[in-house]
Amino acid sequence: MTGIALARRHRVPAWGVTLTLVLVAELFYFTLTTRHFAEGGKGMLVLTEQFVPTGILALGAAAVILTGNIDLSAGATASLSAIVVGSELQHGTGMGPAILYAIGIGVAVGLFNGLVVALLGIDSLLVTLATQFIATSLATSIGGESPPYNFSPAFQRLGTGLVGVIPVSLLIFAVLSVVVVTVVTYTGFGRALALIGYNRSAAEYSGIRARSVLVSVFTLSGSLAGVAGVILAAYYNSARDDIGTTLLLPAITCVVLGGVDIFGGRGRIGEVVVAVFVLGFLTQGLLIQGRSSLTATMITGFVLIGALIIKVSVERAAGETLLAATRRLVGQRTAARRPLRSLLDRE
Amino acid sequence: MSTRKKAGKGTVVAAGIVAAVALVTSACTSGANAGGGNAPTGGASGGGGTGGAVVNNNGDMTLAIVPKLLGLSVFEANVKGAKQVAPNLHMNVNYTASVKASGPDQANVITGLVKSNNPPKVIAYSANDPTSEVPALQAAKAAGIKVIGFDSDVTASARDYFIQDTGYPEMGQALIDAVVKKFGSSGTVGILSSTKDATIQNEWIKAMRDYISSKYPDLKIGPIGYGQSNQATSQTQATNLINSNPDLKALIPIDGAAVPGALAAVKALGQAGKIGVFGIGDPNPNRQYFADGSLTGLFLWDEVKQGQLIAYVARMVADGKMPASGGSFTAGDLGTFTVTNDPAPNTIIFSKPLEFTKDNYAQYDF
Repeated sequence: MTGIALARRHRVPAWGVTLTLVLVAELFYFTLTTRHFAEGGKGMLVLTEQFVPTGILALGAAAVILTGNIDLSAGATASLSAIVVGSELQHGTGMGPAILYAIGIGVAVGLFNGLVVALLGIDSLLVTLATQFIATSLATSIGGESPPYNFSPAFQRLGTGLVGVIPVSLLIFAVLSVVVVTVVTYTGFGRALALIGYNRSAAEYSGIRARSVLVSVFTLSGSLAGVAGVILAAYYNSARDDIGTTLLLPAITCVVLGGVDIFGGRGRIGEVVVAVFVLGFLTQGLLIQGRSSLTATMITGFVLIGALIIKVSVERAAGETLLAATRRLVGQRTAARRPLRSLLDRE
Repeated sequence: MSTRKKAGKGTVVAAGIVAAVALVTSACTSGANAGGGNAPTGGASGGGGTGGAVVNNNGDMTLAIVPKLLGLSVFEANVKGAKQVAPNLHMNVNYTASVKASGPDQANVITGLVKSNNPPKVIAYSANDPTSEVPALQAAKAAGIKVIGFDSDVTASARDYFIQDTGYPEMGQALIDAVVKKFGSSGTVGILSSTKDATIQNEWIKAMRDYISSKYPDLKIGPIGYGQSNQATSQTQATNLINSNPDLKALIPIDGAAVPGALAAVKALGQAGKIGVFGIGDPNPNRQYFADGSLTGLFLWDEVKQGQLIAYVARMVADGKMPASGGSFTAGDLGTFTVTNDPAPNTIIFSKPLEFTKDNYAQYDF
């Protein structure tokens, strides 16, 4: 089992490289055409504030999707968390405890999802669809007729504050990304995620405790949704029952664009992080260019479909990843590369 | 696996990379072309100016209208009105909004306008909720853009002026008076609103309660249904209200989607004519119900004229000629308006409620 994962881990991530190139091209293009896009790099960094919450949800969604499951409740959980932190702050709870309650709610929803999916064996699509409704209704009823808004400047810093030129929320996202990428790439838990998604029976026969892994991964997704909710509340200086719900589909879009197989078993979280920036900057850049949100949404759709068609057709034709195929092509033309080629052929 | 490999696969790969780059580039390029197209449009409506004139020069200004979402007929009517008077005001109207009725999405659109190469001089919004757009609007103000609201407001500190559709007490009175005139001053009426935290709808509900308690104490407001601004949900909620309140005299749907929903429910239950429907909404989606008589009263305001007022106020705000609270101003053919601090600072109340009837609805197209 470790053998499978190791071979994949040390290969250069071809899709990630492609996405990075697209990201760089995109940033260059918008910087050249739109006066206020870059602003010496500062404007670009501030723009990330608008899609960091989506990115945090995408981290959790990617881990869940790796196991072949899905968490439809993540967006609603973020809404609930935002409402909880907002209400607590308005009732005079300190900032620290209020944030802990909100993330705690996220953990609770995630844990509940995980337990029902793992112990009762009910499909995660159905379970999280149900918890999505529960979380939304709870958020609506806690929010009531006038949902909380107008928080302390210290709390708002989480959403709109800067450390030097770097937004606080971007730093939070960076830390969470490093943690999740490290855990998923370099630990047994991470390898178990992919193996369960690839073949759950095989995973169980090889000694992986699939149930506890599933409980953990749903709890991870829930707690990340909790963090996203806190940042959303801080960014908008208000909390509403739909504040996170609308981020679910963009987050899943990032996961898919990041090359994670929607049926599980394959994918890298690092590439999902790059995809978050590709999609986020694309949307913001188009809006700044004066495109209507209609056009921006449509172009996002085309980019996603185009990327998937290319990825799938390349992989299907070659039976290997993009970069491996490219290297093989280079190897055919360069006799000196023969050893590398034979190595690749073995796979 | 890789025994049957030839250059063909390599070509696929290379083509793939090229296609990926081409896709992104062409998407962006077409965007740039369209962007280039925007400025000339603006220049052209300035009316025979010098060829290729830069927008914002010679008193020309751009007004960006950002309603809750794209494609709602009432907002299109606002834009139509603004465009009618725009040439006289040397103004270009840029109508843009998000695809979904979402506060965060709307904030994104506003941020995009503020940072664009040709930022508008004035932004007029109708807010999806009172708070989500506030950071973006404050950024707009910081960038020197004037901000006016219409229809749905945000926290007053984030905008310069707000054009309120109609006085809340007047609307509450008009609805209740219409009910009493037709069905007498006792019994139960049911209210069908949009969402629990919808600011304007809650104001109207409060106005109706206040008016009933002071004038018609025998009239009772039953439970309130929430149709989530969705026609099908509204119909379900209306059906529930009717079934659970056997003595219901009238339904008062106070949201654009709730009116046709309530009417459909009344009709489906065979109660047309027995249970009255008095709503707040636009006439276009309800034309058939005017014709068959199941819609007993419909109120709104003239959306086209409201759009004209938005344009007049935008021009005056941009020129720094808007009076402070307590002052009044003249807006072309629309007449004179007063700026008040009631119910919120720097508010302009647009008009009295306009009643649509069987006889006059055909004159309005929204």
